[in-house]
Amino acid sequence: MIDAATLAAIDDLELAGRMLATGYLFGRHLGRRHGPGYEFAQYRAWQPGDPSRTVDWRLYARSQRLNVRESELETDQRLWLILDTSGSMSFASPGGAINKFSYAKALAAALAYLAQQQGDELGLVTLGEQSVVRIPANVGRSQWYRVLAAMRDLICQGSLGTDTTELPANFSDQAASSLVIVLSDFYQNNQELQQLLVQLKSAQCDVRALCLETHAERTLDYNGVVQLVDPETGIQRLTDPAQSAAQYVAAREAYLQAVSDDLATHDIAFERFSVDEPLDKRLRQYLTGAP
Amino acid sequence: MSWVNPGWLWALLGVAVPLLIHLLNASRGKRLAFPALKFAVASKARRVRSVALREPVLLALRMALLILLSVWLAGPTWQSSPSSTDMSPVLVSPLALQLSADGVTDQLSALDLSSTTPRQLAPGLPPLDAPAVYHQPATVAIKEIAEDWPDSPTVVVLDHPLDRLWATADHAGESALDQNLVTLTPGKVLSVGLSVGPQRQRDGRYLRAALAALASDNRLRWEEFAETSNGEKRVDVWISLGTPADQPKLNYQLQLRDAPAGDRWVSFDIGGESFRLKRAQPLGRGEPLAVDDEGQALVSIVSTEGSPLIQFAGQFDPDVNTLVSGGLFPDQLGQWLTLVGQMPQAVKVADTPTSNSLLAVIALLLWLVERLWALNRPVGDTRDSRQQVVPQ
Repeated sequence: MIDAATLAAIDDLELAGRMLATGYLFGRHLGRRHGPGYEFAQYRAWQPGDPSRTVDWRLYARSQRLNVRESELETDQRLWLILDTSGSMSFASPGGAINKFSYAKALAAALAYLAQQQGDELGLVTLGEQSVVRIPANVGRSQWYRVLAAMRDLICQGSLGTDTTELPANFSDQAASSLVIVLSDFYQNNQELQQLLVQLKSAQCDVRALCLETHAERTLDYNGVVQLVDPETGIQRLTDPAQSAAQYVAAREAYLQAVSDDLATHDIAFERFSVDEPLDKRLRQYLTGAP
Repeated sequence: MSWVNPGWLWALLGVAVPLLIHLLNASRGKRLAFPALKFAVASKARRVRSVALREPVLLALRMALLILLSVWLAGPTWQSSPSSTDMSPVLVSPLALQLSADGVTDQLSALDLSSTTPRQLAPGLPPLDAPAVYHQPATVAIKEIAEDWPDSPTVVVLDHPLDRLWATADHAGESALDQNLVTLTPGKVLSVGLSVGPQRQRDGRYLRAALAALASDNRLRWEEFAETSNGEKRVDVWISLGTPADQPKLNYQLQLRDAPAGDRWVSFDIGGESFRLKRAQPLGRGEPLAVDDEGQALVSIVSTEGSPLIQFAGQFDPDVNTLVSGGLFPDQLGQWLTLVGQMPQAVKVADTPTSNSLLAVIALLLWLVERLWALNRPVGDTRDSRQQVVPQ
């Protein structure tokens, strides 16, 4: 099990992504699929039924054996990862080993690894007014490394952006019929993030929303009176958690439930991830659909 | 209880710092970054101001830690209560006793001499009422190291009458005439004020006899401070004639020889690097045992590095080559008296290094407890979460 402290200690997205995804792949016999494509994978002996155009005749001239040239199977499946880089993502539980942004990057790396292993195209888009990155979708291991390198340099600060729907220009067209996974804490100014997801859904995308949260956000578990400061807006509020924690929890749960209900009406799945829980276990639970 | 460095007690004011921090934190609240701010409910200011101290145990630990550190730095020394079994030797010069009899001081009479039995430190010496041994035919060998000496390139050893010794010492003290002369006596350092008394000699016989008597007393371990020179025990005589800055640049090596028998001698250096001004600085007023008419301490007990010392103080006047005030130096070292018995003023100083070590260990334990307490608070307390604290 990879807990939050271990995950924070692994300062390598590639390793973290492999470890998390391998835990899911273990025992599932999801080997690479080979077939027609451009990227060479292997030779195999010709079998009756194989079309003659698949035979490598140059190799036959040298070896007098019929071998079929196989490439990585290229699918039309395409995965887009949308990563929230607003300042609120830098929050971690007090004493917590990892913040939401690092957790989201590890989660994205694992999902990207799974997509790359299946030969799917992979793309990355970030949301945030400070750092906007877009890696066009492509296939192959090098694409996975490109995505990892882009995520490695990301910093989270500022707000989500006042007009998020315009951030990925022409993105809806490119992402049509793709699987789109959004990793965010869903702290938005209005409903811009929901609007973006609905817009993608209307473009025939399979949209999944992953909401990242911490224990402190869920419970407002602080001792004594605290002066809370919004990292994005700088707004301060003096709060006594002992008196208002229940009210806070209720308000936040109501908000997230409203977001979830709104997205559900558009057939968009909304899943909550606690960064204080072991990511590999939660990822496996999410991918297998276990409760 | 007394203090070696009482100035450090001012550090006790630092106890107010954690208290103020706690009070400020309680009233204003810790600044924390929190992204889900819009769901938090603002507290009423009136309620906030009435919030009780948070983490009272932590506050108490931190205040105790500061108190302990202040006390440790101040260096406490402890006096034992007088008891019949607790007997401390106190060296008193006969002249001090005489002054006490004349009603010069009340402090000295506080020694409760009636319940003690004065005894002479070095038995076999002339009785107390006998005249001092002045102008005996003892000589002192003075090795004068002077490059401009006419008949020798560097060193000439001459025998001088002992009077010459005092003249030399007086000469050494000329650069510090307005300084208090301080003489420290057993306990730590055995000293003799050389510039005291007009033309009086310190016969080596008395000095050696006095040291031997001190050596027989467990409480006065002078031997620890004797140095070895040329394979023999040598007694360094410590002189305080002024501040190190006024140290005279003289190069005399003096030897006190016993007049009748030349094989008993003591030697000491005056001037140059061996002039021990630094080690014999005045140690403060201490606890006066005798004062003069103007209230100046003539004899007092001071403490340094855990050892009790008797301090004689006086003002040196070069014109008459003697002390003009506080003439309490013994004419003969061997004439000093050791008072043993129940003495209310007797000072027993605790082993300061041991008590200080104990204080340091307690402070360390307190610090560890404070750290453990601070780290094992509930998860919700964010005071140690560096990521979350918003700069003021």
